[in-house]
Amino acid sequence: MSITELDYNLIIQKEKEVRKERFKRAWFRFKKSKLAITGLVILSTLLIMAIFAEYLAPYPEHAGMYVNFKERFQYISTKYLLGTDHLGRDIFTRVIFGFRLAFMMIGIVISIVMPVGTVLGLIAGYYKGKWPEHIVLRLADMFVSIPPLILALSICAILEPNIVNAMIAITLMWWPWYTRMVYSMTSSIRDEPYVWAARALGVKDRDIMFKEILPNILGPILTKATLDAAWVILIGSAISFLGLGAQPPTPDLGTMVSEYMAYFPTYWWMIIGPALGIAILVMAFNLFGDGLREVFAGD
Amino acid sequence: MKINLNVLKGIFNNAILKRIILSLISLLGLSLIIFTLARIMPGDPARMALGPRAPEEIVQKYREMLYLDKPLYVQYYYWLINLFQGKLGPSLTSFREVSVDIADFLPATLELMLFVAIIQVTGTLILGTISGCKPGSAIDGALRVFAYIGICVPPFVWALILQFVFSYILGWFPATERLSSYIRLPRITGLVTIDALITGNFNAFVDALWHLALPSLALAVGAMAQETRILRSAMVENINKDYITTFLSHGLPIYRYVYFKYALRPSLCSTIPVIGLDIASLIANAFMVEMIFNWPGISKFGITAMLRKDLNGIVGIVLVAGIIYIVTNVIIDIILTILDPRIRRGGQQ
Amino acid sequence: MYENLLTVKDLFVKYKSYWYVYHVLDGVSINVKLGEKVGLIGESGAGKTTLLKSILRVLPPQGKITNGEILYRDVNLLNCSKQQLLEIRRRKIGMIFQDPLAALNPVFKIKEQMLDIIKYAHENSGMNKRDLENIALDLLRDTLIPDPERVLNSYPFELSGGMRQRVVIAMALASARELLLADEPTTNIDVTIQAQILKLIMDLVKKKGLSMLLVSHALGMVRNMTDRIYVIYGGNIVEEAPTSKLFKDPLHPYTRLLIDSAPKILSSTLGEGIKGNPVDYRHPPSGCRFHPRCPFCDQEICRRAKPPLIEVDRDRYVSCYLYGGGT
Repeated sequence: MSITELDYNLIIQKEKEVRKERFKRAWFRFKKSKLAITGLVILSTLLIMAIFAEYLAPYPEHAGMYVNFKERFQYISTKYLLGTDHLGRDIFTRVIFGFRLAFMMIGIVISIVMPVGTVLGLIAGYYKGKWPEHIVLRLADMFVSIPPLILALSICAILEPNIVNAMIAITLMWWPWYTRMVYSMTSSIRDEPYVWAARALGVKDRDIMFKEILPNILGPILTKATLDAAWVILIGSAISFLGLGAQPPTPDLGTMVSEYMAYFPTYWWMIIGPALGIAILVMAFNLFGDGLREVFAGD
Repeated sequence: MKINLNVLKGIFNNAILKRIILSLISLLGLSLIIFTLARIMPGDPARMALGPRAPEEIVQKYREMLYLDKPLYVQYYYWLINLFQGKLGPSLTSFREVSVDIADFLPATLELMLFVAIIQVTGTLILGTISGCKPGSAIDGALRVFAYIGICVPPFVWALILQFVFSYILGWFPATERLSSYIRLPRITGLVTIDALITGNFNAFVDALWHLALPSLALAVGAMAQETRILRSAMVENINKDYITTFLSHGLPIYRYVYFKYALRPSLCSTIPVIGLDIASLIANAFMVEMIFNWPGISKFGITAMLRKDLNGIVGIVLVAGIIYIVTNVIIDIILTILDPRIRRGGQQ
Repeated sequence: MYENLLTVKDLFVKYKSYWYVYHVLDGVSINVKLGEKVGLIGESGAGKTTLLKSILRVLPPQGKITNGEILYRDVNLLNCSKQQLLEIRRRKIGMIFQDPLAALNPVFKIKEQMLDIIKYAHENSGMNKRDLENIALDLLRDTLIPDPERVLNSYPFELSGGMRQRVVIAMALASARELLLADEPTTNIDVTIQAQILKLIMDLVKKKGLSMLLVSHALGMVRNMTDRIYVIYGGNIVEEAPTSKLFKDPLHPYTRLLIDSAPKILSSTLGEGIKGNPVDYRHPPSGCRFHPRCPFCDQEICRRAKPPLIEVDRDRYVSCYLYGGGT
């Protein structure tokens, strides 16, 4: 091994140590961050509620199609925590099932966008100035040339309005924003000494991207993804509110608001449940994301 | 601020022109994607437009009229030809030309957007500067809580809350429509407030403002909350910078000069792009809020078009939203160029 | 005997961040006499800039002065009226900052920034804009800027590093009628023009008859420019001496290491540097803040109590148990 190679290895080694140290510090800060912990607690509570909805909800059969005209339009009471709707279904139950639906949507959308967007962003950022960058960026440009919600709505409208297509629409709407973020982070660290060193040592491009660059931008990526999750929920609820997403009787929070709006303002309390549900969900993701940002930013 | 010729020359430099052209190309590309997607999806637009009972010959004729029986690229070719003549094709729901429909409904939305923009910008400037100057104070804490709530509550919920409280319970503001029914106003620009001013009808002007209040507030709150947060953190960051210490150490009046002049302007440079993006996206949120307030704007046309799969209508909405986006972005670029000399003089950003 | 112009007595400053409290200045006392040029040396992060900012009361919002006294002539800057403080900032003390690029607002022209400062430095003198502009031009000429008109109409990012520092010096001079605080004025500029800038500052101080407090970690520079030196380590003044004596015969172990570690022109060996890490202000060492790095620390008392600043010779003070002070 020549002396230069030794130097290069030293640089890479040092970078690894720094990274390890940074993650250790991030973990330490995470434990101390009130925001992150609060967000995580709310988020996991909601998630548990969503997973065990059948057992936790007071009237699980009310989630879908169920009619009980005798008990319709009930005001908030101990029996019906958030009242009942126009078909006599318990709104509290439906909100819990709404959480399940929202988490499902987020989960599916994230598990599509994150891997694809990360790879595209890394490639575009790493090959800055070459054709992969241009292709990815111009493609992304097309999708961000109109407001995200309008894009999602039009895609929903062209495909049939239903929950699967809503997810497709959200995926198509979100990927360029995510990819552009990964791209800008990658292109800002691609000239760091350890990347140069790895390149000089003849490490494969793929390994540089995934083993040297990716671990260094993981923190901001996670932060961004969490904050975006809040945004995705807002967009998703807007899609279903306009009737272009999940259709009744699916217990989707946005769909519920639009369903119950027909009885507004006489039976105004019906709105409270789903509206509050959306707000809490969004708030939880925002708190957690802000916490993560604090955790990863304070180096 | 003095705007001399040099500044103007700098503004319309190649960078902005290049951006406009690139965005137009992107928009056209997107419309192509949407157009293609719309045509290859199963379903017969002509049949859907005319209903299941229409005789087959008529449906066939309609198909020919819309070139629906031709290959995709031919359809796109005719669509483009039409587009350059300012036509977007007939709507499959109203059977009118889409551009006519849009021209009918858009002014109401633009008026709403204008007022939201005004509320948003003034609100952000005031709230963001206040909490940025005094981080950690009680008022800053209160504003932070407000900002958090503002971000987490979707605009249609804001609309419902405001409508319920201020119109149904308190009765201070009207719940729906743009004007009280007894007021007659000729349509000149389509913006009611401006038409009222042109015709000198002061009552109509006040009435229009009255009707604008709730929907524009509902649209403004969420975005304002986010922008306030951004301006605040930019202010806090800039106040910690050395150049602020410089001016403090020379004994300049702290608020009038140091904060409101030397800290605010650099902070605005990072806030304005976000404000611009929010204003450009307003048309999307307006869809929901207009629906709740029964506002005769673009959503009236757009939602029907989307729910009934009116392809020309959908592409029309996409194009209008895209053009609003581009125009707003250009305005933002110009403002930034004025505010930030580093862009104007071609230095590094 | 000189008259005392600036006296800092027993100053404590701490910074609060979200999670930690940083105890930076730990009972610092210094003074600057009329017409005197005083140096303050120490590593980066020793609290030098904090001290300067405290004097003008321009610490960032997280910084708090918890105890002490700052006297300018006979005005206590910590509890004087707002007007008195502004008066001193505008017309008595001027400050040169470390990083000339950061010290100038990036989005305003030099003219705008200088005129605002000069306007308040010459408050109530009934000057119009033309007069103010002439003053600005004069100040820029004082700093030997070849083309002051052009500089005045430029933005900071359009100037070279040396030019920017001259502008910063000119701005400082607008306010400095009696005392100039210079915070590492050459650290962030090109090596080739550092000497020019130093000479410029020296000449200006002499020409305008100013007193000066010069902060630096570059020893050679302080040696040539000052009459008296304070050595600061970890927020404590550890030694005070007339410049010539300090360099001839440094007393405090830290000063010795500092002078040894500076690269010398005559000897070919590089200095060894000081082992260990700078003070962690969140949990500063007990007793003498230098004891964890001190090669001579063998007494238990070093860890237990902070050594007092004692006079070991005429005008020479040191804070170390090697020279007494223990019981």
